[in-house]
Amino acid sequence: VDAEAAETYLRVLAETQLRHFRAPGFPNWDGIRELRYVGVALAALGVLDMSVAEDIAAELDAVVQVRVRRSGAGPARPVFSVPPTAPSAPSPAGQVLRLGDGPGAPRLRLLSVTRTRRQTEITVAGRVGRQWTGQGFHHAVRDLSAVDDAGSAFTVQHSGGSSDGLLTLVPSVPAGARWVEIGAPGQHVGLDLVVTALRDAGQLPPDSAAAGLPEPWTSVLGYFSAPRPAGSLGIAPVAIALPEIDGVRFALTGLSTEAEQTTLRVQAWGLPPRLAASPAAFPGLLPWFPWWARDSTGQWHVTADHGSSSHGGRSALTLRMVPPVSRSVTSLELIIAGLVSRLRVTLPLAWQENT
Amino acid sequence: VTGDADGPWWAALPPAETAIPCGRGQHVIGWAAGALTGSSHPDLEAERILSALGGGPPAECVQVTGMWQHLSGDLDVLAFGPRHAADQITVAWDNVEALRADYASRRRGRRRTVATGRTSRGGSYVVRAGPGPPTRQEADVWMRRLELMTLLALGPALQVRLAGTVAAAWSDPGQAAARAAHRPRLAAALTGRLTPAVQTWLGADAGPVTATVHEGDGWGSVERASASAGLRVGLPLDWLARVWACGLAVVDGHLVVAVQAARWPRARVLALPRPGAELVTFTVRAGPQPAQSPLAQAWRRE
Repeated sequence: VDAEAAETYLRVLAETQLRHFRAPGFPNWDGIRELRYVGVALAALGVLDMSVAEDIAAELDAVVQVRVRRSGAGPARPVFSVPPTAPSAPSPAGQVLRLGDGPGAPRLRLLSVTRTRRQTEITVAGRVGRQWTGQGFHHAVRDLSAVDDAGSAFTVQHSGGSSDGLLTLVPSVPAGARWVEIGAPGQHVGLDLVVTALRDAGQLPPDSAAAGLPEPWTSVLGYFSAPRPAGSLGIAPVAIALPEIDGVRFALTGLSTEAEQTTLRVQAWGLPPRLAASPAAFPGLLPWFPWWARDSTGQWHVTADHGSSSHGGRSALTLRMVPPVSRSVTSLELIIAGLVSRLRVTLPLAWQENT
Repeated sequence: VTGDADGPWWAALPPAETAIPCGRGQHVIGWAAGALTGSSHPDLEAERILSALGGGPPAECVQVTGMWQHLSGDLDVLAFGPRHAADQITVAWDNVEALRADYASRRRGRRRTVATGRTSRGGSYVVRAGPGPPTRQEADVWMRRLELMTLLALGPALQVRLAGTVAAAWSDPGQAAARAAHRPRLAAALTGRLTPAVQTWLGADAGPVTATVHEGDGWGSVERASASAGLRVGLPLDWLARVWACGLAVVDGHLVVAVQAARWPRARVLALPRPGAELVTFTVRAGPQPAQSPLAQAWRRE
């Protein structure tokens, strides 16, 4: 997928989302979020500049706002807003950088990475042992530097306290960078930004070491370079309760497909209570999602949040499968990665007409 | 068979007009033969020159015609404008006034200093809060959006004619390099308008439409690999101007791929009865009561 193909794909997807806006059959339309979801993933794969992806999403936002404008309404935010900076959810890093040698030498634990359009920030926590007799912590963090996989160098600015600080890389690390190395005299640690960005997008497929990451992704993205519709309407009456995973029980209650989308209906018990307080933020922010699936033809699919509700400890979720599942598919291998465990479930599909 | 057409792109479009607030009353803005005119102002150009020479702010009609000229080649028009007859964009003039006030307020934006200090490397820093005034690039984008909203407030008839004007400008043979540099935007503009037309032509189960801008000779192509594979369509960009903007995309169960000749209310079109079929040529005539939006224009085969 080259940059032009990726941009074309995202812009055409924006057109599809606009067509679905207020259309029958899309009562829980959330097209801008879905577009950002895909845009971040394309940027993470290095095939599209993040700023282009964000501009396309911001444009769809403004185009939709124009269509909801009515006399007497106040000025529409998106029309004159500066395009948002695509904040990414912080993702765990975990590496430890030693800032000196000897007992109690200062250490900097890299807690998480947050990438935005303008900068890359690393939340850090430092520690200096009582035995340390060298120069102080703030002196040690003055000599940090960074370099990305293209060889571009960055200055690293530390701010905050010794135990609750922030490293800011200046200038911004390019969207296409796949890793960056943070260095101190005598030591360095690497951060895999592709994995980071995919985690940020909530899209990291299970079983994907960094080196093997592209396989499900190339499958999903490859589909869109030569799209094959799912075909006529169909329903597969799956009904299966999955084993518990990290204290949560999921039950699959139905799969339906049409020309441009496939919807998987799910019931869940034991999800965090915040679902009830903020259903709109769910389930994209929860660690069990997205789900990945490989169908009987070898095509990978990833789920996108398409609505949810919660009542009395039970949650009803609607997941959209991207790309849609063809009616020629006879089974799906569903993969759910939890916090500490993982499920693999094979679903035989017996399609029925949906007329 | 080629799609070469004689005459201007707007030959299948009738005149249109709308009223806008101007001064203390309502003035009529008219469109005819591809150009916007302020029917209530005898000499718009003279008023524009007078205003530029210090004769006070230009009248709304003068501003609007200037914006039309300014945006007649702007791809944002295709991004924001209508896609099909049911794609209603209703921008009221009080919305436009509110946007102008918002724009003016943001241009006056000031940052305030909330903190100063020294960095771990010994340098000093200043933290300022508030959006501040826009950069020149942001101001340009905002101004273009404000102009765009103003033109969308002219209503559906002129929205579609403006989109046709932009598509025609980008279709010029001299714009080949510019088209090549903006292929993703143009492909999306074409896909967004062709897909609803294909769904009207073949039904909601037509499948996905993959549209590309056809360059070179001939009218383009419409291919269907299999019954469920959707359509791959290549059409020249001027299809958006000559066909879509004139409400001719689908007539009498045919997908119109080109207008060969036109003089409203009649046009001779090149059309496909179904994917893979032979092209046919026939003459169509506009209904006696043209709708406000050309996209809802009722054309009938003669």
